[in-house]
Amino acid sequence: MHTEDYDIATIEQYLAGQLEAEAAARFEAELERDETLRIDTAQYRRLFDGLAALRSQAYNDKFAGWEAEAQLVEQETELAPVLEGLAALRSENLRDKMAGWEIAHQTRAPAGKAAVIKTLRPVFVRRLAVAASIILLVGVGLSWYATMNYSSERLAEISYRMPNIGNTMGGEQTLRSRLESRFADAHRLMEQKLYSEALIAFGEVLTLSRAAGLDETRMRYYSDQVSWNRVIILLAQEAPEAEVQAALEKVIADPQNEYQGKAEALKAQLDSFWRRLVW
Amino acid sequence: MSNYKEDESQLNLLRNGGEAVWQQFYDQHRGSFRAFFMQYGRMSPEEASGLLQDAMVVFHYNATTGKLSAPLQSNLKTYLIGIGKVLLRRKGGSTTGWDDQIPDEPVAPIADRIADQEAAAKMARALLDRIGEPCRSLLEMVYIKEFVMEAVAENLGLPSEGAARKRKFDCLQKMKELLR
Repeated sequence: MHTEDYDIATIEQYLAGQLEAEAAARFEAELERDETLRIDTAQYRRLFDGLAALRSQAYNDKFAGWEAEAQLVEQETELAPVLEGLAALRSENLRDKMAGWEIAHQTRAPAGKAAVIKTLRPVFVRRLAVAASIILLVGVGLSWYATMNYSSERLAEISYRMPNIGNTMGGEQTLRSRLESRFADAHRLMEQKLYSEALIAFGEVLTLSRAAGLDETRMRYYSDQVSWNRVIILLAQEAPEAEVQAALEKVIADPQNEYQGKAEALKAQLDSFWRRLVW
Repeated sequence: MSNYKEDESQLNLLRNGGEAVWQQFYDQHRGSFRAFFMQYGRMSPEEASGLLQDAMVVFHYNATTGKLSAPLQSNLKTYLIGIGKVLLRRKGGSTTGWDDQIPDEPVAPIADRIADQEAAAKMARALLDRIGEPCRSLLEMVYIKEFVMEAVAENLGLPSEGAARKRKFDCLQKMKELLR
């Protein structure tokens, strides 16, 4: 007879090939003897296979991301001659200046020693230089726009809204009054951009909301507030992208969450082309 | 004695490695895979990239579940292209005229495995949809998103890693009961 709590861990290790040879042999001997264990193991094999298949499907998003990165590298390679050309134009520009300096020298030189300075550069080279400068300016402008509107700090700012908190009354310190007070604290800290402290305060809000015996609607309100503000905090603190995305996905995956729409909009902004241009 | 020692070492790394190892593998084979299907399958670069990603999903499942294991019958590049070939056929694409480029022997079981993988994923998704919260989120975090237990505990507001692990076993047991 086996106790299931103990066996799931062992079954999982056995199926993943993670048991030492001796332990695996013991487990197999147990499988021979115990029919229930045999049936359980077969069922868990199906479950773990199914979960592994879902994990592999989830990798599809990652593959798409790597493909985009690879294409970017390719584009950079393709752009290399253009960039080199621009560098050449920059050098040409210096040559222009040197020609100007030379003319100045000639002008200052004693009479009789004047020489004719003739530039060999065709006109189109100058035009290209002008075009390159314009491209550079446009690039800087786009990047500036992206930084102003799509930086983590900016996205956190525009995603955050102070809810209508009302007055937190004094008097008897019930769990509910402590909850309301801590909730107001958390939002004040958010407004002051004291994100680490706000995260702690929201954690306490979650704990208090579970203990305060609230009705379902109220519980949901606090839970949605905490999960959404956690996303904003991670974003503002420039946490690793994966962590922000995981917190965001949690909100998006919950159709009851009040902030699902906002989370989807934020995800679109995070995945947008402009984010790549942020300094 | 295996002819594909290096590939077997790489497979072992992939089976136990994280995302970085997989990205390296993706980058390593991207060029040859796309070139192959652009040349022989007459695919556009975008179509070839899409096929590569589909093939990688199948490859990932086979590698991480031990369904592809030593001793290998071909190198990993051939195997990956073989998966692409099977997937292309399944989509109704023709491989006539270049079948000999990638012999069928090493990749013959792939078609069956792809069907098994799809059925397994469908079954697990259906059970996750039925199991309810917080089990669904927890199992997704552990088995799909590959969160460490500490992160699972933090995300679910559980007091410790141990509590998260205990909850995981409870949820697995519940999922198994749904399977019955």
